[in-house]
Amino acid sequence: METRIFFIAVAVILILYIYRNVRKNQISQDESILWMIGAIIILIFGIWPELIIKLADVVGIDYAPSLLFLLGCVFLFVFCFRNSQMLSDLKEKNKELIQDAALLDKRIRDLEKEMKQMRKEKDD
Amino acid sequence: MSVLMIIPAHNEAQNLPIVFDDIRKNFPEADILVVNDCSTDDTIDVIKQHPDVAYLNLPVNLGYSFAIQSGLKYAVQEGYDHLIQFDGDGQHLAAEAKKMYVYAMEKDVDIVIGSRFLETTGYHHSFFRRVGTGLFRKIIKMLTGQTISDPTSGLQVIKRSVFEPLSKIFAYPEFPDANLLIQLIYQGYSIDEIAVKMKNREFGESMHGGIVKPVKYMFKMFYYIIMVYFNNITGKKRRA
Repeated sequence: METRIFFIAVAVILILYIYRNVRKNQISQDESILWMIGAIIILIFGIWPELIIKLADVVGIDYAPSLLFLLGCVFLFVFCFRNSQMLSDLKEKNKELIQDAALLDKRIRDLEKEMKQMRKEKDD
Repeated sequence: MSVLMIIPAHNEAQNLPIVFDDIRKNFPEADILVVNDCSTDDTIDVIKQHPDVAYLNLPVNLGYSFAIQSGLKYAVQEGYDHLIQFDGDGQHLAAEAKKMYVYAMEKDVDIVIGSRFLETTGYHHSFFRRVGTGLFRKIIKMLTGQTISDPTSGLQVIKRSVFEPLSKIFAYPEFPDANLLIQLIYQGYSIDEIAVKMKNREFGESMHGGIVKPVKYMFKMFYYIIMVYFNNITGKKRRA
């Protein structure tokens, strides 16, 4: 019973922590969805630990806790992969922005040069 | 009194000239801003052929909602009083937008939504759209007590007092539909609807096509709404 309460408490704290971060704009809603799902799965297993034993039975794993580790690994794997994906996307967009800024800078310098020339011509 | 039409465009080269003609003919008072969301076709050349159209050229693809938010920032910077969200795919009609704008001015409403569901308009709805819209309508009614018949409508007239804070929010939602409306109602803004006609799109693909995308959309939307609901309960973002 104590372990059950402990796990439920951990899950609730996780959920509140994620929620607080969303509230304080430290993580976007979109990014928090997967974490929230993870925390809710922990909560579900905390409330009904029999689920994990039944699930292990279904997939034919003798030692039920190892299924827990497998699930945890898969979840983290998916999450890390998604993070890598997003990192590539961000890198690409960042590169694009830097190049764009450089091109804009060149156009502004050209404009300034032209303006100076025009002013000179006016003065002469 | 100035009004800006924000048209987010991603690969709409075929539709944009029709849209421009429509606006010039039926709503000439409105200024036009196209947000070119990194189109890969010749959208940008089409826009350049129309010197009276202002445009923002996003160097990377941001997606529909962030393209709209770029437009909001422009409207704030240039000091517009009202803006109209208008789709670049030829679905929306300028005459209807004008009707909504006049209504917003007369009744002094913060947000006017162009609804396809208030009257039968002959607009073709996909199955998911109909089911989803019905569901979100019920959710909005349940959470706020207000009836909004078309929460996914992209045709909206928005007042400066609303779009100025919207242009600044962190992580503008990927899909700004029912969740944003609920949040705005909670914050005390007035929202009204009038019936509009819309055309079925002429060229190109809808952004809510397929089966995976609508499911993802529904799921995210539920999550957003739950978040908005809890934010309201724990009450901090309320407007005085």
